[in-house]
Amino acid sequence: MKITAARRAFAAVDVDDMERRLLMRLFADTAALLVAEDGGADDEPGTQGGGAHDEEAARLERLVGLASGERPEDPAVLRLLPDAAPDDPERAAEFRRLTERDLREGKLANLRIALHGLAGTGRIELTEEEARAWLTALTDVRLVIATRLELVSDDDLERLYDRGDDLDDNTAAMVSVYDFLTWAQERLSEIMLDALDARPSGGGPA
Amino acid sequence: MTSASSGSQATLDPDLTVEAAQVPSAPWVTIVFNDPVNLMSYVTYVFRSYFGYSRERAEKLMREVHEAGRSTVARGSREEMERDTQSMHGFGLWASCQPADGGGA
Repeated sequence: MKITAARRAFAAVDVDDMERRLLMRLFADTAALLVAEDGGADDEPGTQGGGAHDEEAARLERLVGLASGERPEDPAVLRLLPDAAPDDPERAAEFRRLTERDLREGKLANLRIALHGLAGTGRIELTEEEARAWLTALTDVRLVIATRLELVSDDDLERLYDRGDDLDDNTAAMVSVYDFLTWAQERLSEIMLDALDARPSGGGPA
Repeated sequence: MTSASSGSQATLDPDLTVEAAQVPSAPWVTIVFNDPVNLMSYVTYVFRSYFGYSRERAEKLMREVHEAGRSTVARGSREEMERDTQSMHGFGLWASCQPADGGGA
């Protein structure tokens, strides 16, 4: 894989077939996580005596973009959609109810842009907006893998490296995928930071 | 993005915007927490591109997050801080918002 600042486009990504398939699977799996937990609640009858009235209310809430306000159970999804007020569960739930759907949709939009780029063949040329979507999509995939690897402190990855051959195959594979994504994200971050610095205005909000 | 909770009145009424800008001590803050995943270059990019901070200021805040575990990255109205917090979550950073005098910062 190679990522370069491009003259014609904003950035260009070159991947071999294996990397392309890997990235597509990772982006698609992360999108599925965001969709699955969101849709999952809809299929459940509801523990507090659902009924047609509640279903209708839930449908209306979805229509205007309100979420249930329930914390995701999967720790990886919770890391993607974290609490906005860790010390105040009530405010965190209200914030989640008002914003979580937008947040999910924003993340899904980034993942779709990345998947769309990978769906073609050959070099992937990105506009600045697409590069930003890639960068954030890479972050979200890394957050999911890091949660599965139980990376909590800055030293946890080092500890996994130290265990080396003792890691089971699955964990070892996840670590190398994580490293690959880290490298890709670092490269793209640098390109995007350099582009901001090169801007005469000194880069205001884009 | 914050359709449900945006301070639409403040945007619609120019007088309100001026008054809000003149309030000396902003009542709410947005705090970003450290995590082992987000890269220094990426966090700098987020602070720089989203808040429009200089490279120096963005890097200073990034280092504060990394070394102290958290940093107050913005101050303003509750609505603004909720919008910033949601945006940070959009970028994959873990952030929270709270009253400026509430709890540890």
